[in-house]
Amino acid sequence: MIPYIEGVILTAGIFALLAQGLNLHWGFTGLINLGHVAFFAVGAYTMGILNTQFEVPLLPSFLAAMVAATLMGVIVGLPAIRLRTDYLAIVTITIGEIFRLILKSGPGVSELTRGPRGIRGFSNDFYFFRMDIGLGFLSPTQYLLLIVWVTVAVVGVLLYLLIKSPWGRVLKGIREDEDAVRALGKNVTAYKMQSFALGAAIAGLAGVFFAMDIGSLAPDTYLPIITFQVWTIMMLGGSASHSGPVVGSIIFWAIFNGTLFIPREIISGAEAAYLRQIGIGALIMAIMIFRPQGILGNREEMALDK
Amino acid sequence: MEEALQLIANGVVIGSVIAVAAVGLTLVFGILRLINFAHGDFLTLGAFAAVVGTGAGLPLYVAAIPAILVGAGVMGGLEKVLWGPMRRRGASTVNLLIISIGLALVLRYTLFWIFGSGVYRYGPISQRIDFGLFALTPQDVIIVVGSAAALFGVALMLQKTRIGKAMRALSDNKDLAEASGIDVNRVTMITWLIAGALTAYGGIMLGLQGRVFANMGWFLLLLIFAGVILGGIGSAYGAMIGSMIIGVTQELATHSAIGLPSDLKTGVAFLVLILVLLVRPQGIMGRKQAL
Amino acid sequence: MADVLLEARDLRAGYVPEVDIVRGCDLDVAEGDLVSVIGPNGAGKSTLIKSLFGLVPVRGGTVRFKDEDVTGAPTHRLVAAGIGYVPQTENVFPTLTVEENLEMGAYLRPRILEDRYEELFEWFPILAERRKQRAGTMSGGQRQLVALARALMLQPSLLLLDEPSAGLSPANVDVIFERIQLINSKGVAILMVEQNARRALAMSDRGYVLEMGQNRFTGPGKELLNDPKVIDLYLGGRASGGAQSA
Repeated sequence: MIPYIEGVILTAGIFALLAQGLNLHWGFTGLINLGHVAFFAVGAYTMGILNTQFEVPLLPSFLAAMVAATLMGVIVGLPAIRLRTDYLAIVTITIGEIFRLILKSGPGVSELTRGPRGIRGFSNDFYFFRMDIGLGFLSPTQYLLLIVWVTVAVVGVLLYLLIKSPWGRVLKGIREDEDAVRALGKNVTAYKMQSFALGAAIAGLAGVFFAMDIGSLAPDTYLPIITFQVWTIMMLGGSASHSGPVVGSIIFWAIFNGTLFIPREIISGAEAAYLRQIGIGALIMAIMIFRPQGILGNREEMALDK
Repeated sequence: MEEALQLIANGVVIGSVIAVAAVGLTLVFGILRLINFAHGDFLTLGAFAAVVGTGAGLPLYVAAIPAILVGAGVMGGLEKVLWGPMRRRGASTVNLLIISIGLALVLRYTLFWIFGSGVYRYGPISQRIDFGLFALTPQDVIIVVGSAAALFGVALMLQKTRIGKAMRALSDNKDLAEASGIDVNRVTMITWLIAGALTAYGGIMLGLQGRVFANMGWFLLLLIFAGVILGGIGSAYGAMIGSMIIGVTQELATHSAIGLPSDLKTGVAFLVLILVLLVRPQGIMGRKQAL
Repeated sequence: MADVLLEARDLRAGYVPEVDIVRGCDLDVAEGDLVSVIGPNGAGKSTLIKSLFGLVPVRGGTVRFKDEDVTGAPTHRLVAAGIGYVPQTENVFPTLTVEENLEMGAYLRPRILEDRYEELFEWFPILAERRKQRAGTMSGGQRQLVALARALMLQPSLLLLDEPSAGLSPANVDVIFERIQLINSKGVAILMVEQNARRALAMSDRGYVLEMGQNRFTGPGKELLNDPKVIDLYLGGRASGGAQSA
């Protein structure tokens, strides 16, 4: 039972990071990013490829993963300069899918990514490292869990400070009325790109941890459904709230994994899986219809009624 | 050369299906500015509704009728209980877009729940007929002809009927339409019903290719978006043209002279979509307007 | 003594609940009248006309049309009752042909189409020539004629015009005002908001000068035209009206 709960908390932590990144895009800057899973994938794959194919040690791989995710954030952010929200939604989800296709079957790329079957074997050093710093008494999962949640806390504080700063105020201004901010002489494009880049970097880091958790990489793990899960978590906790991603993620994964306990006699495993997805869809609709600010969010902060 | 013609023929088949779905999407967008992420799943709904009929032994052309009515009914029903009330509450197009994402999940996985993850078909797939320069199955031919007929019907409706003109007027300028005395709510509902029927029909066409499964519409969604955006969002004729171009282009991209792996052909359509949005957002037939 | 067609008393209206743009206006339009509303930018002229047509929320006062209370009534009811409206901008359906634009104007009574086409093509011959042309491809002046014709399809007794001459070349301004007078001579009452104060007052039976959402002056058009106070403030003495003088 305990390892099971640890697993849930670990996943919740990873997705809290993802939601923190997305919250920066949507909650604070008003950019509708439906391709978030791409940053997740970039982080995981960069680390995995560098480590297994090019024998790059772990820490540099981690950093490279974040840089790669940041670059991806800039790429995805480029359309955002010109495009309005609805079209940005389509473009971001499309970029995410193109990326997944390239990872899977891209000429040249798929040799590196090992195509649909993916990559393994990068996580051992990571876990052995814990002995070196005297945390050998923790199981691998507990160790990862600790690292992930410390990261969530650090990122949370960082984002809190950033959003309170003048930089953060400009982001919020862009969310409310981009033209007004531009009229004040601010380079709106630069701020949007920075928001995209930072949120992507955070998601890339989450990707690295996720890869460590699973121990392998496969392109079809990184489907749009993950982006939708992160959106649900962010909306549930409350967009533009700092603790929202944490609260949303814990509740989401508790319920999600809770359904795994429904006895097979009542519904089969496959049916439970379908039910979970129906639940996510219904949750998204319900939040948006009845309580758009989520649990912890603030009605005034809602980037919705534009 | 023969390879190219065969690929073009294949492209026309899939392009026809995309076109039917795309017209439904663009008709709704025209009057409501709503990009419906659940649109693909309505295709699937139509396809499965027909499977119920054929599973009970009815020939497809009979089973199609209740399926089309179901499609129209569900879309119209959602306008009444969901979209209409949300619009009156002041929901923005972004709110509605996110709701449509949730709706897509509910719809798709309800179909999974009911029908499972298996693949269904309406009937046996016949041998391909050799037309000399290319070969197509009889089902493919029906798809192309059937889609063309539906699209022609829609065009006729838009051009010649009073309601069609009202739909175009509403899409041009909603306030002016209201000021002219047009009943905006009624025209909106009729648009949803037509879109619903058309989309269900499109789903059946798609299913005729031989595989009806719960993800089928979702897999087509980005291609439908590509067709709509390339053609010019809000323009029904644009949607038809754009979809055909998308269908043919993605097939031709797998030509041996280009060497793109078949897995990646949808990627080509996706690239077209992104390029259009960045370079000429109004598409082929659209008017330059603030996006 | 012509019957009163439209009567507004102490009208208050505004887009946003706390902010009234129209702040207590009185207005009378008799059958067959040509009435102009002029005033500086921001006076609330456009808002006034929109609030009469149900496009801007009315917060106080009353509006009566043909002796019926229509305060805040929905647009389609006013259209059915016999009021036509031509907005200042975006006043045609660009992808529809001229003929289709007119058809939409008569949406409520499709059976009268042929008769209406006949009369309106007589009043606007240039539209007859171009009946199959898409309205969006026409020049500004021609579009304005399409907009007018569309609003006339249901034979309204009152036509509300929001700055009909705005953005038109001087030649087209002449055409528009001349057409407006023609329409009026056929018995259609006209209430128009205009920046081109001189021209408007010169052809009006009565004029209202609005300032800050309230009536400032009112009287027969020619009188206002010659009133030194009005001239000074709005007709090219020191203020904005001068730029538009005919």
